[in-house]
Amino acid sequence: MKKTTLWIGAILVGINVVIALLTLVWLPYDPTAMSGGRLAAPSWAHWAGTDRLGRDYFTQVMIGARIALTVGVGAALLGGLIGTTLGVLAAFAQRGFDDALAATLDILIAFPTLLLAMLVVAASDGASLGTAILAIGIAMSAIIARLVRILTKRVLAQDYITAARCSGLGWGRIVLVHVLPNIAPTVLVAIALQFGLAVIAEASLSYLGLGAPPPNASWGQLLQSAQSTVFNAPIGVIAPGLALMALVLGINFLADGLRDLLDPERGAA
Amino acid sequence: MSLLEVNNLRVHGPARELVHGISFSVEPGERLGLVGESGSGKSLTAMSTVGLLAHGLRAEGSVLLGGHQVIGQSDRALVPLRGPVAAVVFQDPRSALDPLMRLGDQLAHPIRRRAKREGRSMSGPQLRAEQLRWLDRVSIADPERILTSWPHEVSGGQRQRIAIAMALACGPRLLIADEPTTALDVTTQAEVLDLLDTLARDEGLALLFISHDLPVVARITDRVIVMQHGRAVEEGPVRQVFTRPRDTYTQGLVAAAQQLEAAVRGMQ
Repeated sequence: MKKTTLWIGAILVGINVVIALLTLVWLPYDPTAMSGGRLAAPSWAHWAGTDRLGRDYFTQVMIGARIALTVGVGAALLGGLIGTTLGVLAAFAQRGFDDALAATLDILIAFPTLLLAMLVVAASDGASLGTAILAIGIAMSAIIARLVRILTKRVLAQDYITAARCSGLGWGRIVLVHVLPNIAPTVLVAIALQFGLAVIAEASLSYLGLGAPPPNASWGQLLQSAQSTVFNAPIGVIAPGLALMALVLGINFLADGLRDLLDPERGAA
Repeated sequence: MSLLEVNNLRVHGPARELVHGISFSVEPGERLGLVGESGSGKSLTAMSTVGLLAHGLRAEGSVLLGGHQVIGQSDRALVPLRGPVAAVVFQDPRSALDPLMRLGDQLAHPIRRRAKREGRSMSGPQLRAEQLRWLDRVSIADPERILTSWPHEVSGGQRQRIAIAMALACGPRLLIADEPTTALDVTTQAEVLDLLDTLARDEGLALLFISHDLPVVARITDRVIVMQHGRAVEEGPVRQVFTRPRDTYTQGLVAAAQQLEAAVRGMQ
């Protein structure tokens, strides 16, 4: 069994999770206070240097991990929940509703996430963590719903479902007992992969100023503000960029490893 | 009263009619065979009798299952009818069991449902005894190990036996067997047929047996209906239909089966 990718993924994501949790109780510096010279180079005191206002940069990158994970987990939960519900409903629905839902999902998938996010921000009071989660979650739910719909249809076509129905099992029980456990491995892997995309989407949104407002700086926002000083202090772009890459890579490795682990033919043997 | 009474059953597909008015009845304990080539409508006919047609198919006419009309009933109304009256066994042993559920758990479902229906409670040791009893009924060796195995860990024949045990654990009076031995190799096929034969006799089950394989049908059923293009072309006691077929299509089927047998003999 190839478990190496799973472990690398787990470690990369684990580091991010630990840092994110750590920021809740402890930070090396006050993220809003000046603690050194402006645009200082990395040193033992400031691992990632300081920003234009002399604030410790590593502290800000640490907070970014929390923002990225919050939005990622929130969007994955929201998208997974809405997507699975809609997908199962569509699989059971009569032709008309099924077609309407499929068309809606296609439109939603074709709709750029960023545009959707701008609409959500415009419709709400302003950019916040919540709007980012909502926008990315809705976009993700369309992709999950389409997958769940087709997976559910495939499970429903199996003989054991007909046999179960014939032995007097109602539809509700069939969904709980047979459908959900059988689609879960594939859906979980898809949600994990979407989780990685959600972290990138969040970085893009906050780069454009549509994410969490300062001082809860997300990596996208750090990248954006470090952009103008990229030649004087390249660490300002490198640090959040590396952090983002490590987290997304870790999530993708984890999803890959999960897929191998959850494959019923190979995993259970 | 007949256990199953089908009157002028028609099945409509999205574009055309697939079964053109078929009538038959199954008495308690009787064994009826439905024979025909692929696409002759035999499976559709059988599935209509329990209201389990696929999406997009519609049945018309009258089907009385245990005295209750099936055609035009909502799924909710049919759920209590299924199980105590009729259960099904299918062709493909690979898709007959949920791949992500241990065999013991799958078998526990119909057992528990039946116990609940009959107002009995089923606790741990009792349930286990019932599971082992059913595995024993379908002649499964090493039932203790099978209970904790996954479907992919056992052979096709064993899976089919477990599917049969699950169907019978509902306590049906009619077992619908849709080509239950077609996907099995010849020796396993013979074993499963023997098993169905014994179980049907012991439980006093009526059998609706669907197959394209004449020798198999001849072996297990009393009466047979030959179907072609969605119509019943011949009907009668199995011996009469297979020794003195009247319809040209049945004559062709019988001749083909005889030729195959002769060819096998010739090689020996």
